[in-house]
Amino acid sequence: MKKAFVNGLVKENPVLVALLGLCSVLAVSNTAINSLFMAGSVTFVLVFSSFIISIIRKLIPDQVRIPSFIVVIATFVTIADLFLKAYFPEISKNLGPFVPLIVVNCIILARQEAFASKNPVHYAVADALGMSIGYAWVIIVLGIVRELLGFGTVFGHRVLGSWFHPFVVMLLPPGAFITLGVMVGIMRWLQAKTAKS
Amino acid sequence: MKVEVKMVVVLTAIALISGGVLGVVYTKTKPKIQRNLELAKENALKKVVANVHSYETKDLDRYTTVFIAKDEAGHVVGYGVLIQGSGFQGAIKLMAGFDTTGTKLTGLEIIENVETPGLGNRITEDWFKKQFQGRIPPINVVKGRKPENEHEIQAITGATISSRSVVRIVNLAQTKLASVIGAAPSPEPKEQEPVDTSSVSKTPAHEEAEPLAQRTGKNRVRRPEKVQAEQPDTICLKYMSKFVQKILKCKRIPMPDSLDVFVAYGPNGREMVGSMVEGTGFMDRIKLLVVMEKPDFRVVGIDILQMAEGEAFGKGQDSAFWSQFIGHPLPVQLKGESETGDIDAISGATETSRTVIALVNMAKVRAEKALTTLKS
Repeated sequence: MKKAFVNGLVKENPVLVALLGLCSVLAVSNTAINSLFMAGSVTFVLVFSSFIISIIRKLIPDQVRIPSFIVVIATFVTIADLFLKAYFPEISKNLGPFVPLIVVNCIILARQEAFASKNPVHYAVADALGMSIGYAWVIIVLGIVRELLGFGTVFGHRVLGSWFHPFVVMLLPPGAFITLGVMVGIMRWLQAKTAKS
Repeated sequence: MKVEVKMVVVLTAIALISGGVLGVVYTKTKPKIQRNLELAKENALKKVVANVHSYETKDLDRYTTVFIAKDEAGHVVGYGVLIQGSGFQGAIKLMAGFDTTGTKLTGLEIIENVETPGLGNRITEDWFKKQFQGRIPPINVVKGRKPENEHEIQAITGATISSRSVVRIVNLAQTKLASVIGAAPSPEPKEQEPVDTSSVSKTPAHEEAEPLAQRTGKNRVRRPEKVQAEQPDTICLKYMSKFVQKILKCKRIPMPDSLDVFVAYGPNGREMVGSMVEGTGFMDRIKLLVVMEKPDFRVVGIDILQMAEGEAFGKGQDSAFWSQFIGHPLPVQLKGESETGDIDAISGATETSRTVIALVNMAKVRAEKALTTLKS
């Protein structure tokens, strides 16, 4: 069970290693707060979907497993979306279509297909949590780096003084690609190093 | 259970449960979500108009709502116009506050925008929005110098288009508000008089031309008196007979993008070319039919085939603007943009005017291209 949880953090990180679900990672990581809420939404959807799918895994016939997964995922995504709209309208506006788009985020479906539908509930939830945290830390780090270099702030608080000239590019799509590229690069380098020793 | 049955039962059950859960969540969150939307508008109104106690709303069209703001005693203290228009990357939705006369701006709030973060997005910054306080539309954007009078706003460095878009939307808001409360836009009152096509067409100067045909639906198609032995192309005739009375021969030259070019031959070797053009205007597509006379491509008439309601100022109602083209050889230019400009822009709708001029000029280019294919 511990292994299922730890897997997603670094070794099989959904973003840095599997390169899944990049669309939202790149699109909404322009500020730390957006990243945080996006990570929260994904965690909510992934954990609950895995939980439900794992419970009903023996009832679902193989032929209709994908539609069943999608319906379950879509239900939680809609709940998350409505919740944000009702209680965090500002954030919901910033995240735009990327919350509804979690439905088609491959991390979620991949975990249902590869793990939750084949394992008992506690394993499935541990795996979902691990993967969510794996997604969360990457998108939050991305958000912090981009916000720091793009605005000079972190979570809206000014960190860099007035001497700092913001790099607008960091807030635009290229900034996301550059930062993510560097992160993937560091990841690969570390992996190669540990493999040698 | 057979697998076919099980498939249906399981999937139906999942869908039903999902639907039920969502129904509950939706009904629980709906009032809150709606309240949020209302609050956002109300807060914006309170920021742009002072002393708002209550307000009434009036929807003008899909993109515009007028808020009539009142104080505790029920006196009107100002107006807010919630309006949407196009920016650099997408729609900009804003609330513009006006004083009780509906001419002077009291504030501006940007409600929604998808402009570039750090550049166009700076339209939400206070210094930019504050500039609008006390300004009187129509407003112009100035670059590289300080605004000198109440009709000028300084552009954001590196985001001229976004700045211009906001100004354009604010100007539009004022016109729309004026149409509701009956205030004349200052400084130059605009003619509100609708165009009467029939009276225009009687002008003797252009015997064969009917300079201003109204929108397609209202057009009377005039048949040529003499139908020649050779059956003219009916589509061509349909479009061209509005502007050319005696058509001996009419020919349609189909173009690859389905915007056709027509050639009509009249008596005394007259040769008329009609060219369809389409482009993006301020809010939606503009489609025109420009009829020119050879050899110098003098404009005979322009038919507005498609123009969105949102092109408020232009809208094909401003006959003075459209009739300027008649008799001018193409290409034409906007006055003030070059030494030899010949067309006056509609005041407050420079962008629309500019688009129209570009389209009319394109008509000539397309006509020439079509004619060469005809020859070969």
